[in-house]
Amino acid sequence: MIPRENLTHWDALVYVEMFLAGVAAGAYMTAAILELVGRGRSSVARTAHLIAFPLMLVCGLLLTVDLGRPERFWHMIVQSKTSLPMFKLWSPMSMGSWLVLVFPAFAFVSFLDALIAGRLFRIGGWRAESTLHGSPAGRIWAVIGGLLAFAVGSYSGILLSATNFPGWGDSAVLGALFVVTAVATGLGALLLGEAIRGQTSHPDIGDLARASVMVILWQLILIVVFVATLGPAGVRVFLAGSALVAIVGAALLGGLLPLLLLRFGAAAARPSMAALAGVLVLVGGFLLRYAVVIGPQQHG
Amino acid sequence: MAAAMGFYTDTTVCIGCKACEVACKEWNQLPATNGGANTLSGNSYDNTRELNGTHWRHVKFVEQFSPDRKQAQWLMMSDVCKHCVQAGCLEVCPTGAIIRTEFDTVVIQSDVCNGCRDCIAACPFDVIGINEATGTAQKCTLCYDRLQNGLTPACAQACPTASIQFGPIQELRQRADGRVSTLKAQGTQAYVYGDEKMLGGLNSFYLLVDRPEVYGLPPDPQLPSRSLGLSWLLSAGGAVVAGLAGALAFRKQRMDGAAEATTVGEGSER
Amino acid sequence: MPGLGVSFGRGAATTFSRDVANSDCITIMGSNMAECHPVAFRWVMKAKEKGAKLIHVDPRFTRTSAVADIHAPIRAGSDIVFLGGLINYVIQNEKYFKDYVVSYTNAATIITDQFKDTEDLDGVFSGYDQQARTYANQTWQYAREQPATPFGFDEAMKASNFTELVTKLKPPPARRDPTLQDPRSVFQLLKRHYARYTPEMVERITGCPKETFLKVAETITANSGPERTATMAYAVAWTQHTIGVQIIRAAGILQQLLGNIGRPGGGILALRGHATIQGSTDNPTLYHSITGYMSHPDTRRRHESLKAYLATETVPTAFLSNQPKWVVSYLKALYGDAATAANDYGYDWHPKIVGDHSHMAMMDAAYKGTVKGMFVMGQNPATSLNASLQRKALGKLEWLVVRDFFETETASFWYASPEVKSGELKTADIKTEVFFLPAAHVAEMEGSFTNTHRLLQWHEKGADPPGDGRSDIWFTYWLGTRLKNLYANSTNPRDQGIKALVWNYEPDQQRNAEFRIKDEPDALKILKEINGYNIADGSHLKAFADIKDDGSTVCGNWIYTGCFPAPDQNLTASRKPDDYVSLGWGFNWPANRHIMYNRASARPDGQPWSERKKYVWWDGQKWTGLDVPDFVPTKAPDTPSKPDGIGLDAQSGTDPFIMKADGKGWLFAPSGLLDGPLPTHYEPVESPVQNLLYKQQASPVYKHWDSDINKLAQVGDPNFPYVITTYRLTEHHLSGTMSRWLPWLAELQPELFIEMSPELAREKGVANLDFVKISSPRATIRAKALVTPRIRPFTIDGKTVHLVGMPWHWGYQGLVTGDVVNNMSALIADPNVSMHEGKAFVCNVEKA
Ligand SMILES: Nc1nc2c(c(=O)[nH]1)N[C@H]1C(S)=C(S)[C@@H](COP(=O)(O)OP(=O)(O)OC[C@H]3O[C@@H](n4cnc5c(=O)[nH]c(N)nc54)[C@H](O)[C@@H]3O)O[C@H]1N2
Ligand SMILES: Nc1nc2c(c(=O)[nH]1)N[C@H]1C(S)=C(S)[C@@H](COP(=O)(O)OP(=O)(O)OC[C@H]3O[C@@H](n4cnc5c(=O)[nH]c(N)nc54)[C@H](O)[C@@H]3O)O[C@H]1N2
Ligand code: SF4
Ligand code: SF4
Ligand code: SF4
Ligand code: SF4
Ligand code: SF4
Ligand SMILES: [Mo]
Repeated sequence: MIPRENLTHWDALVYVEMFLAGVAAGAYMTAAILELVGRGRSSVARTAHLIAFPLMLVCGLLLTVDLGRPERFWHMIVQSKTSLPMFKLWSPMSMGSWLVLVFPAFAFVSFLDALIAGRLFRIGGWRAESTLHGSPAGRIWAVIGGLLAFAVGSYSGILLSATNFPGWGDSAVLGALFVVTAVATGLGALLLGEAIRGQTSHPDIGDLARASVMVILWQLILIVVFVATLGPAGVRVFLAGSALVAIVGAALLGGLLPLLLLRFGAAAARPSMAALAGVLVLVGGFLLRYAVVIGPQQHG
Repeated sequence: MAAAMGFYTDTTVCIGCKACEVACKEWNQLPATNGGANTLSGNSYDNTRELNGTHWRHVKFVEQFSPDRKQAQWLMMSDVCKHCVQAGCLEVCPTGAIIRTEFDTVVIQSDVCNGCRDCIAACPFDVIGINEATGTAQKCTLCYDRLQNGLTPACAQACPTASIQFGPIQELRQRADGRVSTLKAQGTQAYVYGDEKMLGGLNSFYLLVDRPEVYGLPPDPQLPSRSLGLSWLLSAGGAVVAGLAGALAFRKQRMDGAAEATTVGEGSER
Repeated sequence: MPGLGVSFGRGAATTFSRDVANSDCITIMGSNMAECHPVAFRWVMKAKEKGAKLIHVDPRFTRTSAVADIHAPIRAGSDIVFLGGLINYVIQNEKYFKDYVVSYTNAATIITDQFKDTEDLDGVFSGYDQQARTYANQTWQYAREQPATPFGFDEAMKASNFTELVTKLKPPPARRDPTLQDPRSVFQLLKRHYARYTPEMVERITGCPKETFLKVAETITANSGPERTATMAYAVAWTQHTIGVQIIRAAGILQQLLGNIGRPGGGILALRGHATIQGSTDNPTLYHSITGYMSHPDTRRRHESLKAYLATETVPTAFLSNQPKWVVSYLKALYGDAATAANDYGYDWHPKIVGDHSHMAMMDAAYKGTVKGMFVMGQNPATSLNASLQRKALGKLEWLVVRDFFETETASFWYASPEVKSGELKTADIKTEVFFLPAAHVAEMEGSFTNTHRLLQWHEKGADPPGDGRSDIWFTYWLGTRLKNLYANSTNPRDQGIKALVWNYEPDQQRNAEFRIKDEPDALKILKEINGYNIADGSHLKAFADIKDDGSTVCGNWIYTGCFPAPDQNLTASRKPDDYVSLGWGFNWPANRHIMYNRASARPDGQPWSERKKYVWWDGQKWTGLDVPDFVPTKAPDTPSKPDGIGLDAQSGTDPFIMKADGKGWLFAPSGLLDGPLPTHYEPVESPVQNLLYKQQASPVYKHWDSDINKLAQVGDPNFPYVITTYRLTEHHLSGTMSRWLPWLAELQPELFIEMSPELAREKGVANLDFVKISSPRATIRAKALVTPRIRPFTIDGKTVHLVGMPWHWGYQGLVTGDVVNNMSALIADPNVSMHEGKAFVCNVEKA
């Protein structure tokens, strides 16, 4: 891979989008796991469903605005000259475009479901007592939606590695790293959400904390693996400027610190601690997205 | 499809005159840097610096001198899109803006591209950039419009020394091989960069006399999809581990919290 | 170009660009051909692809050096040492082409006993007048047999017709020694003259390593001879010296010794500069000649009448014996019916020059207040040599007309020049009335171009110029018409010339029909006049032989005769290419001969020197081959010279240089040059080093227009320790009017820079892209440093001499601007052609 003169100029809009999409996907995946272990109606799952869809809407908007020609966003879905569907399995960007369209559709239903579960309104027979989630159909929904969420969480990392850009194209672990940070930030958002809702004594917080500890550890391992697989040229692009600060920040703020808080800080017991841990994980996840997107482009 | 057409660029006869750059800009009406009021780069005679959305041709200058000038070489090479048979840009383009033409060249359709910029990162040769005027990704079209009208590309037409040669790829490859043998016989180490083994063949290929890196070319260019499968697999693996962790955490609570189920449990979810 | 004219007969490239592809060895010296003549350079690369060796001798490593097999670096201004070294190598190692040298050059000719060489007089030749700083050339002449009858100017003046006049000029034959052993033979004089130009001396003076020099010498000689030919190409890095003409002469000598003139793949390719600059010297805009390289009537010479002019100028024993025909037909072109035998065809009306009216002399005169008004068309003197002096000179004119596409530095000097910007001059104090008129571009007018190898090519008008833009023909024609009207009723004798002047290039309604501008004069009428026609029936002249001295023909420029042989045959517009000489493409003066002196491509007996190099040969009846023979077509090789013949009858069937008085190429030049019969090394006028070969430091006869703002540095002046040379970049054109205003070109080389070696940069604490100040005795300017190993320090006689280089394309107008490099250069010149020394002077460099 040769050093780059032409940058993609994937800047704030993109790393913010990647971050938010990660949170949405991570939260949704968490909800799906909860569904699978039989807790589809838990408060945590509902919180997850409440945040996933709106975040994805914002993401769709950010991605559109980021285009050089936003009015042509639909060219990614429909071939502008033939009106046939435009889909390339082997292009993560193409795949991502579809994911950003289809996943929110699933998330939207879950979102409505969560609102209904909260008794805000009902639609015919669809009401708080008979929500989708928590039902057998909900499991199927969660599995499909969860897989889509997985894809949403992964594709942006895979998109970056499916390039010839030094720093991005050097490692095949980027997708894994992205999806795991998605889960971590999803969990972080839920921790924060639950803490804000004041469910101090709720055992879910303890579960979230335990899950977070494991996922954060896994994320730290993947950061190391990612850096190790980059090769010298790839590493170099991250070892300078704000990207270096952000990476270190991500490991410290988003990794070690929440780990300590969650493991030894009895976050489960104190909402402020939980909230802080959640915020830290989110900040870490954001910094990581920032570092990965900006690092390779910062020489220009 | 007509015969595959392309460029054979013999860098040993390039005199760095930049006629190709200017001819390209003129034909394609591309703007000059800052309206012409550019700055001196300090890097040899190269002041246009790179290939991008408004420089579709770019002549590189490499000065290789030892302190005593016993070794003295000034390499010049007119760089352009390689019109790869397996083209990374085309592979990733999510709008279908990038097409393979009947001449086996790779062209970005300006009216289709929406400026997502994935192709910029995908090209192994750092060829594509955004043209601010159009908001779309642009690069050499191999003068698609001229080819359709039976004309030679503007750059090749302008090249005074026939460093840039245009024609059917098969013919050009034979010519290049002949030239390599001649040069070898004259004692110059030369080779073809971009044969069929490279990305299925570069339809704009080069005769070089030094390592590719010296000219800023990747020694082993790859398709962006080279590790797509592995990436997804690893991603799935990563997610599975995370998912299992979650499942473990949440399951554990379920058993631990069985006792509390009555007090909180469903009740909390009013 | 007397360098070539004196050596071979005609002052132009001896060969054509495409023929370079047939060369076995190409030496580019005094030119950066790849950068300045990229299109012709195609043929260099073709030759190289076929295995030819390419040598570039240049102080800098340029884009030409980049593709050369050998780059020989020399200090600017030391070319004669290098070439003299090659001549010495060829003679000492007996590598010369003996048969060619003996038969086709003046090597065997004996020179008078009075002649003294620079070896005898420590750097000057006999005939030098130290007070006047001029040479008299009487002692440089051929030793001749005793004349049977008196001959010369006085005899010729007694003649009653032109033929008689020419006959009376004929001298007795010169003495020759075909064994080349006579110590007074040209060959032995040459040998002695260059004996001290050894490889060691070459290294000491030029700074070129001896090994590199020897490699060049071996390569050139190995590629010369019956089977192989070597060519040389030069441009203004040979001419822009106070010894420029002599450098070209040195190349001429070398190529004659090696037998490379008149042969395919050989020759000397003079790479001309400006578009159709060849055409503008052929027709000419030169002050000292009229058309076809005939001398301009001059009050300082015996030119008081037509007869005196012809008696002075005519060469009786060469093709030039036809000069009376050309002059009379030229005068008929000027004055038409008013020109009659009785009034010397209007010769008295013709302007006469009274001194040096070359560009620099004129600007010096303007600066000193002698010149009142000036037309500037196709020039930008505000950026020219000692530019600040030239701008101040413009400011002393009463009026100035500038015709150009953009508002040039010249058109805007009165408000935008550095002098005004700095406050030294005030706009209010400049009284010059400046008229700026928009000119048409070449694509907006029709006419012919004469390219670097004498090829005339017609170009059509593509479109009308925008707005008030008009072609130069339009402007000149209508200005002339108005002037003629102004003088129409004058009875003043001195106005008779302008009244008689033929001015008949009226617009052709039909040819202008498709354009907006209807009063564009008819360029074809001008071409017809240049080609020549019979007055009686208007039929076009077809060949030189049709030109008459009896007033029955008009011929504007004899060397172009044949380019327009019939009203429907404009050969300059013909476009029939083939894969070599392409006789059907345009018209190559003279008489469509592409390689001149091509009789020399055959042995004395008329057969080719070798199969590989056959070109023109005798087939038993006539000369034939790939080109138009530059010889009498039916003159057999064994034809002896006629003792009483004039013109070509005075030459034999083995004399290829038909324009020379003896039919031979001139190794030694008994006449034609003001600075010596043999090229001799002199240092540039401004040089940091002493002349290591002679006591005489610089040319004894160079010109200097002294004034308060044209001062020169002393030899070795410590304030100006570096050699500076100036040159072009591919990306720009001359003063930049045609490139710095165009975004696509401006962006390629946007800023003025100075190229300097890393060694000098270190010494001066200058980093790449730093601003530096460069100063000469005339001015100080600023530029960015481009530090590059392509520039190297030279070791001259054991001491390090740094050389810096600057492209000179910038000025204060345009899209991209920069200081005017020529602010630093001086008004000094070669004595023969008044060419400046922009290629080598001295400067200092400091971090800004
Ligand atoms: N692109 C471009 N082409 C041009 C022009 C232009 O402005 N731009 N100008 C046209 C015109 S008008 C002309 S006259 C020609 C000029 O054509 P050239 O004479 O080829 O051009 P220059 O760049 O003036 O000088 C050529 C080389 O001479 C070298 N040199 C300097 N001093 C010496 C010396 O003392 N001895 C030797 N052997 N070499 C020396 C310089 O390093 C430089 O590389 O180009 C014509 N072609
Ligand atoms: N130091 C240094 N000085 C040099 C040289 C050097 O090597 N070193 N080189 C010298 C040489 S070789 C040359 S030729 C001179 C050139 O010096 P100049 O002739 O003074 O410079 P140019 O820029 O060629 O100016 C030509 C002008 O004519 C205009 N023009 C072009 N076509 C037409 C036309 O059809 N009609 C009219 N009316 N105008 C037209 C152009 O726009 C331009 O402004 O410079 C000389 N000066
Ligand atoms: S060189 Fe780059 S832009 Fe050109 S075809 Fe190949 S991948 Fe596409
Ligand atoms: S920027 Fe345009 S051409 Fe490039 S990948 Fe996106 S849509 Fe395709
Ligand atoms: S082929 Fe056409 S578009 Fe491509 S570089 Fe050449 S001139 Fe430009
Ligand atoms: S036009 Fe030809 S010789 Fe000139 S820079 Fe381009 S490739 Fe090289
Ligand atoms: S500018 Fe014109 S004359 Fe000069 S090399 Fe190019 S084509 Fe030839
Ligand atoms: Mo020139």
